Amino acid sequence: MLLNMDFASDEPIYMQIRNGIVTGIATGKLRDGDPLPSVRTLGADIGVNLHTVNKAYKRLQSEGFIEILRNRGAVIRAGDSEKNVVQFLEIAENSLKNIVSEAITRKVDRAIIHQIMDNIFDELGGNTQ
Amino acid sequence: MNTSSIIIAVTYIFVVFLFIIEPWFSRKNVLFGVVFGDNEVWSSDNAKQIRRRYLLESISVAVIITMIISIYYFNSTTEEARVKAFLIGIFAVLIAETIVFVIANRRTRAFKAENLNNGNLVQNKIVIETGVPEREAVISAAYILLLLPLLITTIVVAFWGYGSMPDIIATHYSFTAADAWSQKSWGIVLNPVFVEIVIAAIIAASFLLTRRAPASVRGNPNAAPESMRYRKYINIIILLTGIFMEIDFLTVEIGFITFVHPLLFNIPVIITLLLTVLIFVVYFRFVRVKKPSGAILDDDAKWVLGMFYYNPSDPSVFVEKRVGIGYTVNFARPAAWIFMLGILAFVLITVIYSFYAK
Repeated sequence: MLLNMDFASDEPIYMQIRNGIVTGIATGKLRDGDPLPSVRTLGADIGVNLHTVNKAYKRLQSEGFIEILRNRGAVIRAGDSEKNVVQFLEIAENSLKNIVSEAITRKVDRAIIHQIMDNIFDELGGNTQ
Repeated sequence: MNTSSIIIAVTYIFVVFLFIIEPWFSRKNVLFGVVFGDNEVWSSDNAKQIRRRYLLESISVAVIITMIISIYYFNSTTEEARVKAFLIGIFAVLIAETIVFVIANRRTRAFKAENLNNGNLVQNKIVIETGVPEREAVISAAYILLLLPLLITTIVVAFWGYGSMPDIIATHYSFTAADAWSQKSWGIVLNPVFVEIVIAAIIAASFLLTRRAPASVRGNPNAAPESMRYRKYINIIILLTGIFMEIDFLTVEIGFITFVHPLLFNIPVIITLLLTVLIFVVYFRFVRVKKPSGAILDDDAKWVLGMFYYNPSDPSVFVEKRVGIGYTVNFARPAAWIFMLGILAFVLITVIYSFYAK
């Protein structure tokens, strides 16, 4: 999978790595058992501090998306991610609350937001209905 | 003219030659350390003109310095003074040719600033392929263990063989025969062991530090095609160089005990030279002729004067050189400074030691 990094973005690098991998899993580009580079290799390839990559990997591990192997990088284990649905829903609700608040403030119709969500689901190949 | 002034004169000529041809040892989308979006820039009229001017200036500088040291050389009466003339010449060439390179780098930057057709260049963005298995991307660190057997053999030969060594032992060989001898002592007998330990340490450190060294041009997986394979081959060559140097010193150790034909000492040296040639071949095959595609990261700001890499956020201690074959350090990393000072200390200690040994 191709991981896009933007050093000028406001989003922290570790979140870009984390989000990139989650998107890869969602779109089916990354499947269970697929290897990820070791922390050192990915750090060297992107040109960022090893702590940054480590932070992303630790987070992905705690969220149940990957399994970290000693000295051999990491592999995708997205099967575990379903166990953390409750935690995810809490975080998602907070993020969505911000978006919906802004939509209300800007007088954007709820149908449009629904449509956007459906489009994103379609795009990433998730279970839409 | 004896051996030492021949060696230093050859070194001088070699250094001058390397500086003159230096711009041709880069990726084709890199000109004097400045990165461009594609290989077409190499054959553009402006690039040709900058290279022509560099060639003219670097050759002129070399001719002037060579003339000055020639005057010194022919007026010197002692061998020491002749060696000194070339030593000063090497330093003068190093400084003067670096300045010529920096001027060419500035001209290239100016050319780049007005060259609007740089579509593939991107700022602050990089795309990484995550699917490359670790084993394919990076050579295993375990290979450095290959340096151990010969080192251990040399130690064993030194300790077991000490008793059977004659009182006077040959310590240096010319192409045809031994040409220097010493009284047997533990210091002399263990000397090859110490040299091997230092060689093994330098080779191991170079191997470990370069095994993840990124290509000099980044941006996307096709910005430097086959760079992983190139890096692996260079790592193998580094290791082989270490092994053949170890064989050389093991032969010296064996030579303390029994007669060794002087030609045997030259085999590892010749193989090491062949490995150097191999580096050039591998460089042209996997770097020089490769055509990049896709987005290329514009990171000229990280390459001070087009030759010194300074990037605090990059964890790599070693990175591929932007111009020239091999690796350079990331000057923003303390480990890089420690490594450089270590090498400098080793050279100084060797020089001082050989001075006092005489």
